[in-house]
Amino acid sequence: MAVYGRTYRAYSGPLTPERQRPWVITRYGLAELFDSRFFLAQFLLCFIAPLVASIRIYLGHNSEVIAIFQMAASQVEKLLAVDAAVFRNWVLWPQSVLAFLLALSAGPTLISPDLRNNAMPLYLARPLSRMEYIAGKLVALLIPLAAVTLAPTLVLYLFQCLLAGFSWTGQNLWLGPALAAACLVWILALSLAVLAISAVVKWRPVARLAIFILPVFLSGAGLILNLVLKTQWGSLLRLGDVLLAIWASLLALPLDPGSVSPWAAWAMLILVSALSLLVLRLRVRAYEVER
Amino acid sequence: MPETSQATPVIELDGLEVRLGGRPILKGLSAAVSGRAIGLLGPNGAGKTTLLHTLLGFFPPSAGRARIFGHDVVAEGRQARRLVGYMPERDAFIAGISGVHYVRLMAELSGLPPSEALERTHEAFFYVGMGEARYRNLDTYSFGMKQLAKFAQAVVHGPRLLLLDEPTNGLDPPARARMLRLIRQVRDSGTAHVILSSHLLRDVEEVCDEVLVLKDGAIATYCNLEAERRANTKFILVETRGADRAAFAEEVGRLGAECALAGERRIKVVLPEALEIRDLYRIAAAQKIQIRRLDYRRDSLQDIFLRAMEG
Repeated sequence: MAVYGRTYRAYSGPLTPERQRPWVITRYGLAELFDSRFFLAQFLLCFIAPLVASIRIYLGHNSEVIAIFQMAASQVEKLLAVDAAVFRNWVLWPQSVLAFLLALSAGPTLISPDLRNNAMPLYLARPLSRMEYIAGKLVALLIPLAAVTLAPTLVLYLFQCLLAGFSWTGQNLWLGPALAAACLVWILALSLAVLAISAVVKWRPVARLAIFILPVFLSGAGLILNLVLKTQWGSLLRLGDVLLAIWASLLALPLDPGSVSPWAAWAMLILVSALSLLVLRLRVRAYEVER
Repeated sequence: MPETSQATPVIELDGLEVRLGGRPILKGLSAAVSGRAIGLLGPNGAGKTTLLHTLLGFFPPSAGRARIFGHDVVAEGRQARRLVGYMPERDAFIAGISGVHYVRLMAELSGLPPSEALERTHEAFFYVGMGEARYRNLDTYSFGMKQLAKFAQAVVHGPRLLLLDEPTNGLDPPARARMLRLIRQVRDSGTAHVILSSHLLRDVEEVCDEVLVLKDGAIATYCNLEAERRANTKFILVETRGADRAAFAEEVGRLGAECALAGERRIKVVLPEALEIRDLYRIAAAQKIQIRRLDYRRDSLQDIFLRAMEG
């Protein structure tokens, strides 16, 4: 095709390697997400909590600030000490909540519009498989979620290492990978679940409502189960409890009394992720066959 | 694009069967199709769209095989789809993006590097006559414009086989003429084959040189239109009034012409070279028959289609 000639001509130029095709989906997905001012604002707001946490870490290592407190150095040290629990409470927990809110606004814009507008035949008529399409969309969601969870967590860990010196770093070398795993486990399960819900509920606002309501509903159901059956197994339906148990196992933190066991929490998270993948596999197809 | 031998059929069907929801939709199709533009004809529910979807790997065959340029659509689906451009019948869009964004995405998914994809996207929009509207949001396009945008995404990567599913559905006459002109240009470029699925005989007749007619999921007929046209003798369709039509036909037949009664008042006549039209009028006058109308005709695609449906 030539613009001036306006006639058809075949393409004989170079082609990109096929393994790069899912990345096209990711790139366009990211462009669409950051095209929204609301999403961009929400994304930037997610960095306020890590900023506060960085101040908290800095205070713990600043002798002039410690002097202002007019307390015994040992007391201040205890108050401002940085350990795995601090990372969980000051970084992981707030960032995970913010990541959920970010996924709430981003997730339904990725797959559901394609399904609602019958775009799947266009994607799948090209050398692209269903799983590659899902992987492309998944990475498009994982990247901003990792940017607000994994990236600040690791930056703060490195900041702490820098300020605390070799002794603390040597004792807490394991903490970096553990924090990274804690973030990845959460954002991966969250992304899969959000994409699966938005693949089932094709209408964007309803998908958002479903993503928001479902954890609240399950949390309530879990609480009722615990109260009625006098058990702790209902906590497996409570997202927060499951997450705390998994983080406790990764960060070597003590479990709260009455919380679910880490292995059960892991099993639950793997089950939810597997179910989400199954739903995505079933829903993401060129055409649905009416029986 | 990978090269394939010129002798390789565009599409090979080998006992292809497809069952959807437990129902047989395609029943043992076997054919080797190699025309430049192939019409896929059949009434609604004949299996035209299912055949296209099977070729694209959307539905797995329950038995048999299908190949595109020699590539099995199941075992080598990716290689087969590399060579294909597809325009679906139903609306198929990505909400909230511009025309350029939409076609460029499809070009990049077909393997074009980003800069080439953008260049080809602009060219494709100018080619389909939508250069001015290419930056508009897809949601604001009229139905005809959406059809053209779908066509643009199907040709942007320069496929070797273009699968078009009812491309003129719902278009007004000028838009339909434009769409058919575009398809003919692709066909005449010599670089791409076209498979046009339609239930509109005129569209197929205007564009295609071969026709595959489906009926109830089976092949009713497969023919080369040009050869069919050449083989069909030109005949005269005579419309008559009054007296004995059969006697008139018998008299004309006695002079060496082939005659057949067609309908209530018509007679098909194949004249030998020695006989002229004025002879028909002479016999008609003698038989007290009025000749109301006289047309030169050949068997049309409609005749071929109707014969296939009756068979």
